[in-house]
This record gives sequence, C-alpha cells and structure tokens, in this order.
Amino acid sequence: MKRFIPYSFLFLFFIQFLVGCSKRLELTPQDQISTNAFWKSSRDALLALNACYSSLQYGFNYAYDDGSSDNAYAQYPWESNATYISAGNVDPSLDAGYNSRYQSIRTLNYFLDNIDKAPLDDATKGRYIAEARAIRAFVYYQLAAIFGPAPLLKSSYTDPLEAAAEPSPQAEVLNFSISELQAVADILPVSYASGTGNEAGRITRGAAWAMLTRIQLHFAKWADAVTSAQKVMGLGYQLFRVGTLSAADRSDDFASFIDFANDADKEKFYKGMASYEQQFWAANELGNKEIILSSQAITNSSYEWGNGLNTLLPPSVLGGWSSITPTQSLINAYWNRNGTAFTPATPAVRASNFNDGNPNASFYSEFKNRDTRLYASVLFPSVTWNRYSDGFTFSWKSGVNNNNSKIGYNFRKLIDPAYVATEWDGAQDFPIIRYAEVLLAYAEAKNEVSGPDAAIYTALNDIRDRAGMPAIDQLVYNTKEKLRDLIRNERRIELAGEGQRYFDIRRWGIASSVMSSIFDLNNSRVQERTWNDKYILMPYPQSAVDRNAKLASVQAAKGY
Amino acid sequence: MKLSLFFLLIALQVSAVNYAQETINMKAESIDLKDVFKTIEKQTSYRFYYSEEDFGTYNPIFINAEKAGISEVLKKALKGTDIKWKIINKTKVVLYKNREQLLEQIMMPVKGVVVNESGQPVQGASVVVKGSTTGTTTNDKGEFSLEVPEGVTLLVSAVGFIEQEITVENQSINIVLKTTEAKMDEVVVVAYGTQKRVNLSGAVNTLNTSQVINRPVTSLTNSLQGLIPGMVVLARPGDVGSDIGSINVRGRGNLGTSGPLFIVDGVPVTAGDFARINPADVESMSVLKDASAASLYGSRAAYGVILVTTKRGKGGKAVVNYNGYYGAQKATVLPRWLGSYDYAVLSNEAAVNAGGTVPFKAPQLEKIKNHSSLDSFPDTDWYALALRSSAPITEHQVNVSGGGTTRYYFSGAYFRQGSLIPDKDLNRYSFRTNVESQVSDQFKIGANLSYIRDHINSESGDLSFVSLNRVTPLLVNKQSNGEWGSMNGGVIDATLAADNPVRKLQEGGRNSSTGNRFIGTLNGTFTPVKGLNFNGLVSYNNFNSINTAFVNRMDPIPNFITGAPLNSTAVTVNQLTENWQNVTNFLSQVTGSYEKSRNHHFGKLLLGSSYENNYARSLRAVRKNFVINDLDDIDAGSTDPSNNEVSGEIPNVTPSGIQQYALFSIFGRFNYSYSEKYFFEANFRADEASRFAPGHRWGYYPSFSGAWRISEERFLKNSSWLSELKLRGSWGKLGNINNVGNYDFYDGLTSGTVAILDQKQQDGVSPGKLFNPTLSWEKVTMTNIGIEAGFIKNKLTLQADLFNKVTEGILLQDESVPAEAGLSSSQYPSRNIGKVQNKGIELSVNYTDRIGELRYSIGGNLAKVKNEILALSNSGTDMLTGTYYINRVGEAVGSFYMYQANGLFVSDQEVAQHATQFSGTKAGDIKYIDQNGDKVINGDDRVITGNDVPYFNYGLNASLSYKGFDLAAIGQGVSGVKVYLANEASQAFFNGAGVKEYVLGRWTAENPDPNAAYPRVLRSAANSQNLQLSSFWLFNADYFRVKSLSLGYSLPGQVLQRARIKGLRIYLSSNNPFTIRGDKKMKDFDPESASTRASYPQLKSYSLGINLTL
Repeated sequence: MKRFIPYSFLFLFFIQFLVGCSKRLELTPQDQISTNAFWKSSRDALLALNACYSSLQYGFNYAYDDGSSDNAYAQYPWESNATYISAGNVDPSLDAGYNSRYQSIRTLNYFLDNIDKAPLDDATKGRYIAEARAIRAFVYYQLAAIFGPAPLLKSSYTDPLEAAAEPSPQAEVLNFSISELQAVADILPVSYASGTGNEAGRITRGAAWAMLTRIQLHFAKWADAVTSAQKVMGLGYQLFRVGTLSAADRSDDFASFIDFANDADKEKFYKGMASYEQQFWAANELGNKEIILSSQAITNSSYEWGNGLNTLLPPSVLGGWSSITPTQSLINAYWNRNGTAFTPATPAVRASNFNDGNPNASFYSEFKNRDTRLYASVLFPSVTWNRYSDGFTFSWKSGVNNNNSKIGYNFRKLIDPAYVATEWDGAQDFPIIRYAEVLLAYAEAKNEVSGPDAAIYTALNDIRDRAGMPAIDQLVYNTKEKLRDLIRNERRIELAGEGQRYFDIRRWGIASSVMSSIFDLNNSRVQERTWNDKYILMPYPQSAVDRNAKLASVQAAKGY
Repeated sequence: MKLSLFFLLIALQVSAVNYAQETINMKAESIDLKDVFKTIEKQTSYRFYYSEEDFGTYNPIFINAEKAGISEVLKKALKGTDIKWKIINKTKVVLYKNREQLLEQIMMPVKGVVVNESGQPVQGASVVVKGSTTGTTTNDKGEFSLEVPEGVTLLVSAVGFIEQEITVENQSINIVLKTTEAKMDEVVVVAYGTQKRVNLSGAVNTLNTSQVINRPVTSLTNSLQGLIPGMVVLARPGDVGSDIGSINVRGRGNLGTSGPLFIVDGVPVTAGDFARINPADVESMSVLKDASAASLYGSRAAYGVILVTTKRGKGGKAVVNYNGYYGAQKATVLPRWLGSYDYAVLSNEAAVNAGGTVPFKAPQLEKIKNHSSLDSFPDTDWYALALRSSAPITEHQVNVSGGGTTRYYFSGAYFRQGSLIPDKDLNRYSFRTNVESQVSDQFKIGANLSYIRDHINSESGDLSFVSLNRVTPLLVNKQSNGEWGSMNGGVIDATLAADNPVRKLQEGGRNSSTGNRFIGTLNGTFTPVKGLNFNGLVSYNNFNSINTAFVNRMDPIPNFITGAPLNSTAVTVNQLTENWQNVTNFLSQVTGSYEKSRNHHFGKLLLGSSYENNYARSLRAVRKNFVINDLDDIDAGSTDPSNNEVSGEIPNVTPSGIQQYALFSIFGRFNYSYSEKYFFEANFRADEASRFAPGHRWGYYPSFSGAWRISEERFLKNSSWLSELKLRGSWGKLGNINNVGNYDFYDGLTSGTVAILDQKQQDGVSPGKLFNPTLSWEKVTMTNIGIEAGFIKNKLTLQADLFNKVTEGILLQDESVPAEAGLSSSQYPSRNIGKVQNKGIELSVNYTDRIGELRYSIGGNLAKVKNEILALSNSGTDMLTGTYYINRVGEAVGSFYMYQANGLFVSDQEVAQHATQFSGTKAGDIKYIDQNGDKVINGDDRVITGNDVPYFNYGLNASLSYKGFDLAAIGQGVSGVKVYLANEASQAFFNGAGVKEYVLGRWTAENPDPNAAYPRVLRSAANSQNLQLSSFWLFNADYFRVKSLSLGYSLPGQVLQRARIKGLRIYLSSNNPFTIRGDKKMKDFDPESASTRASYPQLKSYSLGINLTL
C-alpha cells in the first residue's frame, strides 16, 4: 500500500503531462507575418512599398492648415490644432504633426533597410527604392518646415532608444531632402500605366521635381526652384480645362452678380468656373493632367477612405459641419473680374448692409463682378448651388445654429457634389501638388531671381485664363515688387483651402500683419487672434521632449 | 433506482408479551428460510422484517434447535448466506443484506429538545427528515417527537440559526443551534479543496448567500456590493446587459485591469460568466485575498480569486424550490435640463457675454414663454419622449434536488429585464445540472453542466445618450403637420433634426445580441484508501455570441418652412451588420491528496497539474442596400462588392480575430496542524504560458502561512467572554498575466489596407507593435496579518486583516519610447516596468443576538487601501492615461491631472492681475492656480486634483426577524472619490447642447460670486478658456447607498403542513432605494457613474416575490 501511493501519483501526473505537452504551447498570431518569413518574393516587396504610401493618405487634413492661417476659421478645437494655432494658443501641449510623421519614417526606413532581401530585378528594385526615398524626403521636408530642426533618422533602429537622436539643424534636414529627391527623381517614371505595381498615384518623376520645387521655393533657393519647376514644366502637365459646357455646368444663374458683356463673355465665365471647380471632382480624375501628386479617396467606404471635406466644408443644411470656413479676409482677396484689386467695404458698413440676414442691395455689391474663383470657391448669402441640392440658396444669420459657419461664408471649392448622400463619403482625391502650384512657384522664384519677364506672365496667364480671367496687365505689374504682390495674392486665391497659406504667410514674413482677429458679417468678433513670431516654427510636442531630452534645448531656443 | 421499491414489507400484528427468556424449538429436514421465520414468529413475539424477493432465492436448509435463543437459531439458519440481522426494540428482527435495507426498516421514536447556544429552548424550529416530508416543529419548550428510521438524518432549522444536520442514533437528541453569524465551524471552499474555517491560515472571506438571493439585481456581481471587506464592486450604470458590474479585490495593483480570477466548480470562467450565474444556484462563495489563499492559482491570482461552488443534490426525496418576483425599475436620477425659456434666456446671455448679438429678441422670447408658436419655439423634454419612466424586471427560478447514491440538482431560471429604452429588453435563461454518483466505495463521478443564454432584443434604433444630451428644448420633435421636427429655435437646423433621438428610436433600425455560455465539466474522485484521494476534471467552456444591427434607410425630413426635403437628414443606405464571436476554454486537471492524523498531529499533502487552452475567433460581416428595411438575412443585401465588408476584427470587442493561449501548471500544498491550535501551510505553483517567448515561459509562485488559535490555549480555553481568537500571517508571491497580449513576444508584421492607389484599396505590410521577447509576468508579493475573534459565545465576531501588496514588473505599454521611434500608441512595446504598492486594512464586525423572539444581527465592514505607484518606466516619471488621468510615481492609480480651479474671477481687473490664462479669459471665468508661479497658466500648472478609484469602501448590513417576519438591509458607501463630468454632462451649450438646471446658479455681472456653481455662460466656441480640463468639472462622487432592502413573511409550519408545503415566504424587495450623495453642486448625476459625457441612468427597483419549497 505504501508503495502504491507514490506510484499512483506519478502515473496520474505522467498522463497529465502528456496532455499538457502534446498540445504545444507554441501559439503564434494568425494575423501577423513573421519577420523572418517575409521578404521572400517580389510581392512582399510591393506590399511593404505600399505601406510607405500611407503617409500620403487623408490629404484632406491639409485643408485644416488654412484654418491656422488668415484664409479660414476651423471652429472645432477637437477636430484639429488649427483652432488653437490661429488663436495664438501655441504651446507644447499640441502636436502639429510630429508623431505621425515619425510613424511614416519608421515604415519608410524599415522598407529601405530590408528591400535588398527581396528577389527583384534591379530596375524594379531601383524604382521601388526611389519611390520610398522620395516620400521620405517629402516627410522630412514637412518636419523641417513645421518644426525647424528635427532628428534625422536615415535607417531603422534595433533599440528604439536609438531614435532619440539630437535634432539636426533645419538646413541639414532640408539638404537631405533635396539631395535625396535629386538623386532619385530621374530614376522614377514619368507616369504609371496602372495595374499591380504600376498604380496611378505612385511617385512620378514630375512629383519628385515638384516636391523639390516646393522645398526650394519655401526656403528661398530661388534659382534652384526655377530649375526644378522647369523640369516639371517639361513633362507634359497641363492645367485642367473643361472643353464644352453641359447644362448642369450652367445650373447656377450668376447673372444677378455678373454683368456679362456678351454671350462669349458668359461662356468664358462658366467655362472658367467649371474648369477651376471641376478639377477637384472625382469624375475628372482619370487623365487629369494637372494632378502631380494626390491623396486618393474612394466612395462607399464609410469613414475610412472617403474625402472628409464633403462633410467638413458644407453648411448644416447640406449635411456638412462647417468645420473649416472662409474668412472675410479671403473673400476680400479675390480680384475684381477685370483683374484689378478689390476694395472691400468697411466691416461696419457691411454689417449694416447685411442687417443680420436681411441684407439690402448694397450688401451684394461686394459680390458683384469678382474673380470667377470666388464663385467657384465660396458660398456667400443668396448664392445658389443647384448642382449640390436643387433649389439650394445659401443663407446665413447669427445665432443658435449647429454646424453652420460662424463667419457667414462656407467653402464650395474641393467639394464634389456627386457625393451628397453619406457622411464623409467623397471619392474625389485631394491634390497634394497640382500643376498650378508649380506654375505659381516658377513665377515667384523667377521673379525673385530676375524680375518680370515673359515666361512669368505666360505661366500666370495660363492660370488666369483657365479661370476665365483676363491676362495680367503687364504695364501695371511691371516691377519685381509689384509683380511679387500680384503673385502672392494670385497664389492665395488659386490655392485657397489647399493648406499652402499656412507656410506662405510664414515664409513671406507677413503673418504678424495678417493674423488678426476675425469677425462675422455682423462685424461681431468670431475669434480673437494673436501672433508671436515664434509661431513660425511649431513646438515639439511635450511628450516628445519628455522622451528625448535632446529636444529640450532646441525647444527652448525656439521660444517654447 | 430506489431500493425500497423492491421491498415487500411483511409486518404482522403483534401483541406484546414477555420476551425476555423466549426460546425456540425447531427441527426440520428441508425447510425454506421463510418458513423458519414464520415458525419463530409463531413461537415468540419476535417479528421479522425483510424483502421477500431477497430471501425467496435461498435453498431449503436443515435446522435443529432446542430451547435455543433467537441469536443461536438465526446463526444456524443463516450460516453460509450473506444475510445479516439486527434486533431492534427487543422484538423487531430486521434481515438485511446492506445497511440501507436495514435503515429503511428501523422506525424508532425520537424525542429531543432544541436549544440555542445559551441553553434556552428554541420554539418553532423545524425538524424534518432529510429528503422527506416527515417532520414537525418544536413546542414552546423546544421539544419535539417523531418516529423515524434509525440512522436517518434530521435537518433542524430555525430563522436566525445555522441549519444543522443530525444523524439519529439515540432515541433522545439534544440539539444546540448556533446563530447564523457564528461561523467558526463552517467549512470553507479553498483552492482545490475545502477546509474548516477554524483551520484557515490565509485570508479568506465567505459570502452569506442569503444576502444575494431574491433580489431584483441584474447580476451576481452587483449583488455583492458592500458585503465583503476589500472587495470593491463597481456597479456602473448601463443599459440592459451592460450593467453587470466589475470587481476589484484589494486595490488596483497595476495600471490596467486588476480583476480577480473567477473559479466556478473548479473551472476558471470569465467575469461575464460569473456575473450571469443564477444567485439561487450558489451554494457557497469564497474570496481568496492573500497570497497564501490564492497562490495555488499562480499566474492569474494577483488580484484575488473568487471561488464559487454551485448547489449539489442533498440526498433523500426530491425537494422543489421555486422563487419568483416581479418588479419595476426606475432611474435613480435623470439629468435635469432647462426648458426652452430658460435655455433661450441663457443663450442670449451667452451671446452677450461673447460680445455678439442676442439670438432671441423680445418677441421670440415672448413666444417661447407663452408656448404660442410651438412649431418654431417648442419646449421639448427629450428624456420624457425618449425613455420609459419605468421598466419591468422579473425572474422565475425552479430547482429540484435529491437522490440516493446518485444525487442530483437541477435548476432553471428565467430573468427578464426591460430597458428604459422602449421596446428593448433582456431575456436570460439559465439551466444548471449537477449530478454526483457514488459508483462504488472507491469511485465517485460527477458532471456539472450549465447553459446561460442572454438575449437582448431591441426593436428600437440605437439611442445615443450623447445625442440625447445634445438636442435642445427648442428643437421640435414633431411639427404640427405630423412631420419630424426640423425647426430649432425658429430656424431650420438640419444637423439636430437628423440627430433627433426619438426619430432614431422609432425609425432608425433594430438590433439584437445573443450570448450563449455553456460550461460542461466531468470530474471523478478515486479513493483507494481512506485519506487518499485522486481527482480528475475535464471541462469545456464555450462562449458564443451573435450581434446584429440593422440601420434603416430613412426618408429625409421636410424643411418645415419650404417643404423641400433636407437631404442630410436622410439615411440613404441601409445596412445590416452581423458580429459573431466564439471563445472556447479547455481545461484538464488532476489532483491527488493524502491526509493523515496521528495523536495531535495532522498533515495533508496535495499535488496537482492542469492544462488550459483558450481559443477565440470572431467574424464581422456587413452588407448594405437592402431592398427593404425589414429583412434580417444578410443575403438579402446587395451583392455588389462595394456594399460588402468582411472582417475578423469586431470594433470594441476583445478578443478579436483569432486569439489563442495555453497554460500548463503544476502545483502543490502542504498543511500541518498540531492539536487544532497551531497551523502551518505551504503552497507552490509553477505556470508555463504560451504568451511568452521560449525560455521565459515559466513562473513560480510560493507562499507560506501560519495560524495560532490562542483561544485553544489552556489559559483562555474556559474564558466566558472570549469564544474564539486566532492570529494568522502569510507571505507569498502571485502573478498576473492578464495584461499581456497573447503575442506581445512575437516579431511580426501587420497587414491590411494601407492606401488608395489606382482608385482602389491597396494592401500593404508594415512593422506593427514593437515586440518584446523578454516579456515576463507581473509579480505580486503580498504579506498579510489577520486576526479573527469571537466574543460572548460568538455573538460578536470580528475579522481584521492588514496587508501589504507590491506589484513589480507591471506590464505597461512602454510610453517612454521616444516619439522619433515612430510608434502609434498601440504599437508601444509591452514591458515589465512599473511598480505599485497597495497597503490596506480590512475590518468586519458582526453582532447577533435576540430579545425574546426578536432575533437581530447587525454587521459592518470597511476597507481602506493606500495605493501608491512606486516606479513607472526607464525614463520619465509621468504617464498621462486617457483624457483625465496621470500615473505618477508617488501617487495613486486613477489620479485626475488637470488645472486646479480656484473659483471664478470677480472682475477683469482680477484677470489682469492674475497669471495669464487664455486669450478669451474675462471676469466670470474659471481661475486656475498658477502652481509654479511663472505668471502663465500652461501645461506646467496641471496638478493632481483627486482620484476616481474608491480606495475607501464600507458596507453595513442589518437583519431582524420576529416570528414569521424578516427584514434585512444592506448599505454600501465609498468616500474620497471624484468624477469628471465633461462636455454635455456639465457644460452648458457644449457644441450646441442644452443647459442643465444647475447652470442657473451661474456667475453674472450682477452677482459676481466667485464661488458660483457655474462660470459666466458662453457657447462652447467662445468658451475654450473654461472648457480646459480643470478641477472645476470634478464632482464629488462620495455616497452612501442602501443597496438592498427586503421585508418577508414566512407562513408558519403548522399551516404549511396541512397544505403539504415545506415553506412559503412572501417578500418585498428593493434595490438602490435610498442614496445619500456627497455632491451638492449638480445633483443630477448618479454617484456610481463613470467619468463620461453621457450615460444610461442608474436604476433602482422594487419587487414583490415568493419563495416556495415543496
């Protein structure tokens, strides 16, 4: 008996042990690929490359950047930083895009460090690497532009603590971006045929040169910018133009706002309007030669892959949230229809004319015979938009109303009226770089290098003409300074809502004069704005400084 | 099969004679046994009792007896057979083959007296033969008499006393009933076994199950509130099915979830399984709190173990119990929103405060006040329109138990709980079968099956309480023409019209969710020799759930002014979503134990091993564009690929996709005691887990404890006032694995749609969460000192524990990883960083006594935990978590971190003198304290402003009974707790929301009260200076709440006997009837609600029920 006891114990545990061990404890995730099992095929390489493109997604968020400038007001502080930045509440508690950009860098560096393992022919491999290096260069440019000095990580880390690097000076980061783009631009194809591995939307040669153009322009490397822009201009890009007008294109009657000289004048207006407005529509994406780089969106994908601007921009009655709305200052910037500068009424006069939603005739005089792009970009009281909602007339009054503009205007630009049914569901792509920007950059840089010349006028007139506007009066804008002012205003209105103004007011040094409080049509203050020159560069987020002590001294040097 | 069915009783009429020297003469060559008995009966007064069937089969015998005694004759006659006999009451001869046959036959008169511990008679005590209806009650002297078979068990019970079982061996029995609270002799379920309470050396609390049954409570978890010191039950309000509560034992040991391990009948189950157990099925519940008690559960025991044993068959004839109640639930408190006139007046004030124009001019205000233009200026009470004022709650439970060598317990319950949301309710069906069979002297096998089905069905669309809080009283619900409202304060408001919660409820869609929980267990015990036991157990636990939601296509609401449809108010695409989830947990386990006592020494050894494998899988399918809204089959939706969506992940559901883990364990325990006076126990467990990389998989958990029953020492043994005194202490290590992801050690890449190129979704592969191959367990070291005492014959009992619990290597997402490493918050590596200490004291006191027939007991318990974070990560000491909280070394988990508000600014002059706040700050705005004195209010001025974890908890309970009446109350409270009510929940006009009543006490220029309840009113767009996270929006969430109140009447035994009913009790019961709250400012939120912007209300309920025993 005494022996029986220990033996029976042993026997039972032996059985249990078999049960335990025969079912292995080796359990691996069924939704992840083991790092060691990856990089075995050309498809693996393509999948890893695709992930690099995630940093170009959700481009519609660039529209919020206009809310940090004098172009627009982003009314909801929980949607973006723009509300705080425009008010002058800039401190390290906000993250102006630091974390998300280093997340992109991680994916990009991982790709670039491992692509050599994949079995690919040299040409394909070379192109894939070029795409990723171009995207990485663009991300670093944005970091340098927003934050100034930034840690420059050129390869993956093994220990994440290695990533807490000393920030490199802004110039060094920019030089890295520029040299990377210059190294890869001509490896990239001019266009992609579409299909697996050759999808439209990948980085092209034109995109790389256009990125260079933007970077060089931003940092006043005027001659280089001219060269880069010329490279793009030699690649066959064109401004988008509508050939023939449909009845729908004429569905809004602007006769009460514009004194058409004749039918040809009317035709010119509607064509200009359609050409400017419809370049952003999904229906025209295929073969749109103006698009150099875009952030693509599709329909019926609920929140995930739609262009949110269809919900963020319109007023409540059209199902929108009025998240980003144009300021009076932007309205004032649009030219008169004859190309001359517009002289606005004083806010007090305008308020009295507007009479809180019961305007008199004088109120409308401010909306008469203006730049076509005003009508294509902005909804102002009593303007119609039949294409979006038949019979819709925009109206505005102050008071208790949800998801409406606080100023009195909404954007019309960048909204595709084909997608009105479902929240967030716009299939129109957001243009990250379009040809008009390159033309404007060329004009600005060339003017800085050598003053007015025919090539500059040609570039600018192309933009004017597409919008149905007259050519520039070369007799008036005949000096570098006068032309500079024109180019700056032209750039503001042409690119309104596309996120460019944020950097423009900083690089031109005009932010302190334009970032002033904004008012509604009743001349009641909507947002108090203050400016401090340190806002030219955003602070690193406090959480980043806490975790990388090397940022602290630079942060202090930036004034935060 | 009942043996008695085969008996044919032969009983002859007997007249008593002198039997002392009765002798028998018998001589026969070949006589049947039956005839032997008959002959003896003729000659003597002996009478034979036997089963004819059993004795008909024996061969005729030869017998020769002269003047022989009965024993001599029977010895001869039955020689060589397996028949035994016994003479009872001198004349009754029972022939039997086994003991049970004997017992069936021996009826003997039994007399007895039932007294209480102080020797006084207990009147009206019920004395019943166990498993039968035979029984009686005691008279006023406590006496009873019965005729019962010898050896049966009597159940003696009386209100206020512990039920006692007594085996009848003598004709005279004296029974001493102990009062309910004197539970020192109680047997307590411990890890892998049971132990007498007096022998325990670890900290274990047991539940008095009578406190959880018959209450209109939505989950077993919630019914435990306030009952056990150190066990915090958070009963957060929630809609049906999500109001099941959560448990924490002895403080938050880590920074994530610190939930206990639940073991039901030896099988680990989820908190959701536990919460849904039918309370009437619970036989006993033990809460293992210290390392000694819990360490046998090793890697999952760090935050306590709750052991539940469900009821077994008690043996004997079937006993049927029925319990049913019907009740109504109401909100404890609803948010109090201002009506439209006050709303409009404050809107104007807000506009003026912001320097704008007044939105409601005098004529409009007039219309609002007079209700004269309801199509433009209504006065809508959205809570009244959207919610029912009360919802029914009802439950019916039946159980049957009994048996002989095979004992059974069957139970079924139906629970139905209506939601305050119309047309929505929960139906819960629970079934349980516990069967045990003593197959032979050495083998016992048993099976436990339980199945619980929760079905929530809502014919209403989804109700968002955020939306309900956002609609304003000036929004029309229905216009006078019968259309849904489109007017808000005189203007068309498409946004709020589309958000109309009443329309969404009535026309928005429908949804349902079904959860099926099955647990099947087979266990066997083998006892080769006394003291040696082997036990094997195999179980499968399966959770299967399906949720469906249909979002209806809805027509646009017409613009009330123009009649044109407001397109944005339409829902153009209908869609059906189905989520399916299945989780199985397999367990196989063997244990062996051997115990031996010699002289004063007692020793017991237990060894065991277990293997567990958990597999979870989920699937989500969506289709859009159904032809009509009424179809439920997903195949009826459009087959166009763009209308289809399939995913393994279900939002907000864990585990999601495929998740698997396995655990192999070996464990053992050694007990030693000397003379029931000194106790020692050692435990050890080793766990091997699949969640770690090879080489890091084993974790080891030892513990030791000892106890000294001082009251057994000679110098105290005869003390009149001290009945029991025990000191105990323990030390040990525990682990926690629950915060480790299943695959955090794994170096893998994630895949999925990453971008749109070519106007199509493109798949991509990228590095995901940073893996950590050196990951290990959270290790808890716990020391416990406890004292248990009973005074004045255990009328007063006391239990107190002091503990120190240090959690090391807390698994945290290492947020100290530099931002430049490019990890999103879900990709931070899991690391063993962080250290938290919980020091605490727990105390429970009970006093039970009687005054005449009035018996009463009162008890109280409290627990105070001091929680401190000792370390967090490699670098940096703060971790902001969620929106409101910070984890900071030296502070407690759950600390609010924000600006410290210091009243309101009285004047613009004061604003100017104060540290610079925000650009819009004016008089009447919140004043934040400039903590660092740098004259600027910024992130550096944030401080810890309170905590939302109840570290101080107390409970009170009282019961009294008089004759058939009983009354019981349970109260529970917390202290030192705050709640952050953000956005709509506290802030007027938040993003267009309504205004709560307490805002009327706002700051105004006319009454510049620095301590006003609310700052100057502003709409949220102009109010960022006040909407900053600050202690101004923290509200006091202290409370004391009567959780349960019940009044019952039991019909007297005499009445019941005539109706052949064993027991009938009628009762009234209430849950959450009264609350005393700490908050004096807003007063319209429930103090048990979480920090949130909107939630379903907390409920109170009243019910009427009966208990019936047959």
